[in-house]
Amino acid sequence: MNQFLQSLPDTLVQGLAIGMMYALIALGYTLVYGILELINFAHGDVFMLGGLFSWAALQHFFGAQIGANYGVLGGGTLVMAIILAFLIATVSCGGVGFVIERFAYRPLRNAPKLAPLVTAIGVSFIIENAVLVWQTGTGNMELTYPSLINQQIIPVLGLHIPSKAIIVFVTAPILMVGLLYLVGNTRMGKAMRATAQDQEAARMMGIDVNRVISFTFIVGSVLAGCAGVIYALYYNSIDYSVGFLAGLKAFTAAVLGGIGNIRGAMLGGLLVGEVESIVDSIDASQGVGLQWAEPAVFLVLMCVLIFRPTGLLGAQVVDKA
Amino acid sequence: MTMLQFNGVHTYYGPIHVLKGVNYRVEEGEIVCLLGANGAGKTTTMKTILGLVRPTEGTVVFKGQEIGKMTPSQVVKAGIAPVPEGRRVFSRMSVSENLELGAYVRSDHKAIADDMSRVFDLFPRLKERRKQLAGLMSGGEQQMLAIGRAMMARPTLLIMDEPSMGLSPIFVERVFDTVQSINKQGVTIFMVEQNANMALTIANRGYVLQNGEVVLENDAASLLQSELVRKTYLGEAIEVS
Amino acid sequence: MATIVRAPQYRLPAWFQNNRRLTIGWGTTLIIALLFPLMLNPTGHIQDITGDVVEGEIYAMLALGLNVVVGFAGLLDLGYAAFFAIGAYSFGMLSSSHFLPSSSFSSPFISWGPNGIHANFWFFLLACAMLAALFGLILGAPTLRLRGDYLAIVTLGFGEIVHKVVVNLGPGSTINAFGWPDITGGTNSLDGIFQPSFGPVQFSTDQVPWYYLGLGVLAVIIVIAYSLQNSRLGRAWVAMREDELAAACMGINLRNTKLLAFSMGAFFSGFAGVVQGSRLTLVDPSQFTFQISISILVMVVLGGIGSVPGVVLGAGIIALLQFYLLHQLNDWMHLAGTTANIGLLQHIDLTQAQYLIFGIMLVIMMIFRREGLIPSSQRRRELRPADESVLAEENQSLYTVRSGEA
Repeated sequence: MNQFLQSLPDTLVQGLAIGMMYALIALGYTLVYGILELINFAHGDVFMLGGLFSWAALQHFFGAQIGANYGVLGGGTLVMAIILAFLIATVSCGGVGFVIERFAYRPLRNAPKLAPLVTAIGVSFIIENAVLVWQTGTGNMELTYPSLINQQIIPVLGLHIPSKAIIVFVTAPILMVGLLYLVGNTRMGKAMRATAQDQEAARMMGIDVNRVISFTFIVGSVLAGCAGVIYALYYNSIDYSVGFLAGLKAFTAAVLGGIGNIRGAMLGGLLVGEVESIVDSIDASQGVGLQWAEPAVFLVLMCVLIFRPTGLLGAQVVDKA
Repeated sequence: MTMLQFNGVHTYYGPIHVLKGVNYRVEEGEIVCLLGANGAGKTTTMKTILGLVRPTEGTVVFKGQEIGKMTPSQVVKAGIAPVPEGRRVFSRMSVSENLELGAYVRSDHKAIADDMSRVFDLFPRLKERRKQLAGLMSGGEQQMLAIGRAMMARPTLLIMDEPSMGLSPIFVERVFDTVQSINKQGVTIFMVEQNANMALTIANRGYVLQNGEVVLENDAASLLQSELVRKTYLGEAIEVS
Repeated sequence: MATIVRAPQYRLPAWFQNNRRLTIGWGTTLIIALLFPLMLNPTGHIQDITGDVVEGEIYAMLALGLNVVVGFAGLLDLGYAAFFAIGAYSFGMLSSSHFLPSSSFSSPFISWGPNGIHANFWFFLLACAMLAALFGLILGAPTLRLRGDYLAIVTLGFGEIVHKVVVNLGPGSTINAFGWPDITGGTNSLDGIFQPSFGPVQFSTDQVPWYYLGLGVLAVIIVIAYSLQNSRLGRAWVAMREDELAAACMGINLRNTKLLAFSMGAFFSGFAGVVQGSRLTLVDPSQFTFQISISILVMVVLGGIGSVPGVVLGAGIIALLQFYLLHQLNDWMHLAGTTANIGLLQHIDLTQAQYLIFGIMLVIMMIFRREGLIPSSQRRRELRPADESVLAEENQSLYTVRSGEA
């Protein structure tokens, strides 16, 4: 217990970092649900692809430099590598999100709700296992992701902040603020909000609803892809299976904050991150190998859905007239 | 010139035949109203004009241009704006944002800003509440917002679907006054209404729709006198001697 | 006057008369099934093939169970493997050498001694199934007000929680610092499960007795499934699926109807769990993952949601895919790879790709043939609504979450 309390501040910092990652993923769930009332099961896997594709890009372009110095790069190369990683993740994941919506979900726009839900699971399976097959086929069972920056602990106000968390604390808020600006202040953002509230009325205003939906998927997927890069930099690895778990936790975050509610997703993400970090810390202080963090998060999810489905900040879904 | 024309339009809702060969004509500067019971096809008419529903047969012509196959975006750009049934304002967005959305298809920012002030002049109540969420306003205020929002598209033809529905008598009068003054400013109005009395008072002409077919067409004054209209919509059984 | 006496004409009971196609279909299947192991004799692979077929029987039991929940009652359950686990683990804990009590006790139902606990297989086959059904009620109870997608997530959560609890309640490779006893064996598996005997036959590694046992259990489950489908409860499920509000107005107790769906579905998988656990003599958490739950869903979707013969067929196809087709394809790919010298083909392991294929199946079925291979006619009408107004009605029955309201 003592150990747990002593390390509590660091645990909370860790939770903040993880929480921001979950928040980025949760935003994608909440945006899509707000507009289509669909749980995009495959979203977590898009997150994974962000890490995967950026890994491939880094290997391809910076493979030599990465190998030379245990994955750490310096100066200009570092900046280029980071930009590349995020760029590749953005473009590829945005594309994947667009394709999934266009070809797996759009044909089912008018089908009973069971169909897109099952399809989403199917897409998730396809992505995860395609990567698995690739991993087994090429022998890349464990993908090591370079840390790119020097791993060190930075003491700040009595806290021990790992340098890798700095990446999270810098990039994630930028993305979140960017999203808030997009949704709150731009023409497309207003169109997104209008479509989420009343699709037909939005159409009557001349809004191309299909375009808005595609755009929403792309935005959500970009955020998830970037989260994937952040995750991979933080944990130094990426694997076909990370999407499933991270996706569920991020969905928990989205529901916790209020599905469809953007600020809710951000808040929810942070909370889930803290819960996970705290439970992990308790697990660690009690002995190696216990895995109560996941059931804890799932329990949170189930409790929210059963007792307070509108979440903390209130759900924002279609206003049924 | 003829603003809007329906020529033998048939529309289906799935397997249900809603509009069965209807013909309408709306001349420039007119106020034309469409009367009919629920399910007669009034809202489908509106949706067909807007491009939300496609006619299977017949043509819809706006200012000489066939618009039956256009997307809603194109229709709004062409100069038709809707005031939907039940207002359909975006409740979680502010009054200003709702108005901005009315001008979604336009890109002339200066003119849009001018139009917004004009809407505020027309509806001072809205100006007071411009930062308020639309969902928190009363029915009457929402109706004003819906009309204002439609005006933001700078339409030449305004389509209104049951503007008086659910409003208190004071607001009903307000709405119809507003419609008249908008019409005086040069906007043609095609209005669907159940409140036949008020609608026919301000309209030039009217159509009566029953089960997807036009059963009566005349100028407003004659319709007010017609037995069918009086019996069905005005609630009086009058022996016209 | 002589009275003409006619020999009584043999007539099948009315039900069979009325459902000719069904009777013929199942009748033929039954006959083939009974003779199946004998037909395998000349191939010399009787054990391998029969073993795979028994797996297929287990799949069919699970698919039929999920079919009750998803197919009959329209409740999407994504954590169905949890009930499978409960059946298997409860039996495993009661009938194995996992726990070695120091005292002794003997009774016809259950006895224990220093070499383990021996639960009577036949009695506990039913008892553990009922325990699973109880858990079905436990899961069902809090989910009653939830609609389609939220319900699915909650069931998924339940499945994950059960899985993790099972892992955590064993020693695994952890230092069980809470000092808890090793209840489930965790990731080390719970093994040493005892196998039953039936008269002179002692069940062991010979797959043929398991085959017939599985067949018997499967037959019972099929009969129960049909009975449910054609009962008042079955019709209540259909009504509930179509329009909850209308169903409630007609006097259908929504709560009980939903609870019964979950518990009947769980009941079937309880049987499957006991049979599988005993047959393999061990249970392991890896048998009850989300992937397994989805595999069962694939069987139901492929075969035909709500259709009893459909899901049995679906289970059969998936079993065939897993145990035969993928291996064959693998061999061909490797051969092609070696001859054409393409590395990827040489090393590809399609047996890993089964979940990839399942995913593709789900997507394709949903887009092109939602009602499945052998559709239930009821469902076909529902899944392809004739017009928008019908669709709007259906989607309206899902309870809506409004801002700020519970």
